[in-house]
Amino acid sequence: MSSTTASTSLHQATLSIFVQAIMRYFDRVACIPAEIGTPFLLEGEAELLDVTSVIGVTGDLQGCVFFTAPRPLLDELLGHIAEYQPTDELRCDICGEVANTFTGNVRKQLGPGFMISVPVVFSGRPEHLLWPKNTARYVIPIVWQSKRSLLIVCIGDAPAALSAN
Amino acid sequence: MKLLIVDDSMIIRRAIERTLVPSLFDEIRTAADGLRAIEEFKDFMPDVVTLDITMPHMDGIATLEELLQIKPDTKIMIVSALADDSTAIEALTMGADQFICKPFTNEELVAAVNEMLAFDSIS
Repeated sequence: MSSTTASTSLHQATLSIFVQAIMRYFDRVACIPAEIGTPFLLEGEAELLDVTSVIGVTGDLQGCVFFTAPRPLLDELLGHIAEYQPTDELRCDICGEVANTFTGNVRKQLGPGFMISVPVVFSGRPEHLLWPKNTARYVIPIVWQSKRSLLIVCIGDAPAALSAN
Repeated sequence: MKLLIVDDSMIIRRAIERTLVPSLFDEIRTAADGLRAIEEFKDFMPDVVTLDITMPHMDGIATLEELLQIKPDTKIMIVSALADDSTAIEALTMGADQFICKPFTNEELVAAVNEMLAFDSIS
């Protein structure tokens, strides 16, 4: 999907609410701040790292939010919550929990009309990836402990029908 | 005292267990969704429940209602990432005793449980 054809775009203020949620998470869980890169509009295929979690968004806004991270970042994060023997199951669990926490926390500003699903988590890259149609995708780069992860926010006001990317 | 931890995330269940069990609770069970929580609750009859909201099969709000019908004096603390005031108000109005937002620190979790139990003993 070309970003230039997106009929809906995420308001900058909404994006900044996600940035606040990301920073709060790393501050609270690890007491080590994350560095947030400049968010950018995604064109073409999304970069997915080792483990990815997806949260569906319905209600006042519709779409989805992806959190994708490399194993070493998830392993280090697990260590901060006293999980010192990382497994793939634990990595998937924390990846889903991070996405759930980011998207749940933004309801403080966006309100209960921002309704979220339970996370769906996968490793690697699926054969088919579905994105909401005509909805811009913004990537928020996150660097924590020199490890890079991404939050991809694809939500808009308009009804978001899924289409293959 | 008996504690039931309900959360679809294993790492959260384990974190709550590690933090609360050694000092505050003698027996513990866990459940990963609302339906399983109700089964465990009926069999275990816990004194305290920590309850997530966003879960598969049955969410925490529906679960809260069911649990309080079974045993109305159970102390229930919502542990959720949903940070909007209206979710907390809804849960507390329905009968939850405490609400703590994820991500939480161990100290905040212990303080929230102690506050809930202290309020219960005063009243």
